[in-house]
Amino acid sequence: MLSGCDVLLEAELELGDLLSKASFGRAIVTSNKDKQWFQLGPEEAFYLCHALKCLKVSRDKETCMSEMELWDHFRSNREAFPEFYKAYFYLRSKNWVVRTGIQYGVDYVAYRHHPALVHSEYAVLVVSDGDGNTSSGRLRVWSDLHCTLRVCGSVAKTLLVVTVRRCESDRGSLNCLEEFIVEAQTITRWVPERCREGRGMEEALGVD
Amino acid sequence: MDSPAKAPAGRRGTVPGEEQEEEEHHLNPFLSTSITKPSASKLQFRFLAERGALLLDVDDTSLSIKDIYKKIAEGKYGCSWESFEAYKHLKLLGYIVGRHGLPWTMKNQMICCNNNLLQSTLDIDGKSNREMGEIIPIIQLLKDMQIDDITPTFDVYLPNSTFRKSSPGDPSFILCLVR
Repeated sequence: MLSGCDVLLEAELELGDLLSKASFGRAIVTSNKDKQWFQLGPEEAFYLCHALKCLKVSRDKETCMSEMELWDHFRSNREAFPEFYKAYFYLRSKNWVVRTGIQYGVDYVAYRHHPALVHSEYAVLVVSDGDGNTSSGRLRVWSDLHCTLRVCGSVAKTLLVVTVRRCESDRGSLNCLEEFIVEAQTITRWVPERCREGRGMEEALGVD
Repeated sequence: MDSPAKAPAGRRGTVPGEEQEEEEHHLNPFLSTSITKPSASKLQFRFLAERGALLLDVDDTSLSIKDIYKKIAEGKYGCSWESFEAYKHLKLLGYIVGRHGLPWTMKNQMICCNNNLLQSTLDIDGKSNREMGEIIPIIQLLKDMQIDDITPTFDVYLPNSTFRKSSPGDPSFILCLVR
């Protein structure tokens, strides 16, 4: 069920268990013990729908939306949704567990394993080389980079910048997903005092 | 299914001191279904959101959670999942939350029928918007910082057992929702 930006899913216990284990969505506390409600973010919902093909979303009156309709809906809420989804898809396909990073002022956080077992390693920011509405406006100035790095440091995460390069084809169609080029880089602070022993320079390194 | 509301009717199932009750039930599931009526807060929220429409089905069958969610998804009267989430979160923590700009009680106003109620609600909104523009310079501050599209959504009061709907006083916080 589509509700605003998110998707609500009513799940039997077994499905709820599966969703929790695969770390999709957030369980909503209700009094009903037989069924659980999950709240899925746009990227999660679209991933389940488009990539895993295991979810259908209805807007109202029980009619299911097609993938295109869902794509258009999420794009209408956020212009840069294609890039954000591409980044989500990229990380998920490399077996990272990707959750929202809003609590840390970033776009996503990435866990190596299930969030119940570990803390997230990476704080992910998605930038695109587009201008205007498709770029999130992050990391355009040094002060933002400093702030973000400091926050990441305090919560023991490494900043991962996922750059999604624009594609030629129309962003309205799903084909653009194939054409996006994704690069991921980590950025860390270099602290000269700690590097004198030559343990290694930890600057921008390509990931994978 | 829906019938014209009288002002307090939406809060069927509440007891006096509902705020205390919620705090006791902090760990309990928030939304109820089946035999029990939808929780007071849900009702209250939807009451404030949907002014003029009855919240529950008339035949004593409560709306299921699914139906409630569907209604929120419809987005009428400024309802949205996001604002519901914010409301739910604060209510669970014990705050007193009301829609910004809407009066807490209709007791002092004449209620004739559905249409008039809606109209008077709209009038109130118009008036309070003007007042709001004068009273809340912070909105202007935020605009100057180019954080646009900020409009107050909820008035939030600290948990307070002596809270009176007829004279709520100034809110402790004003909550704005940003997408």
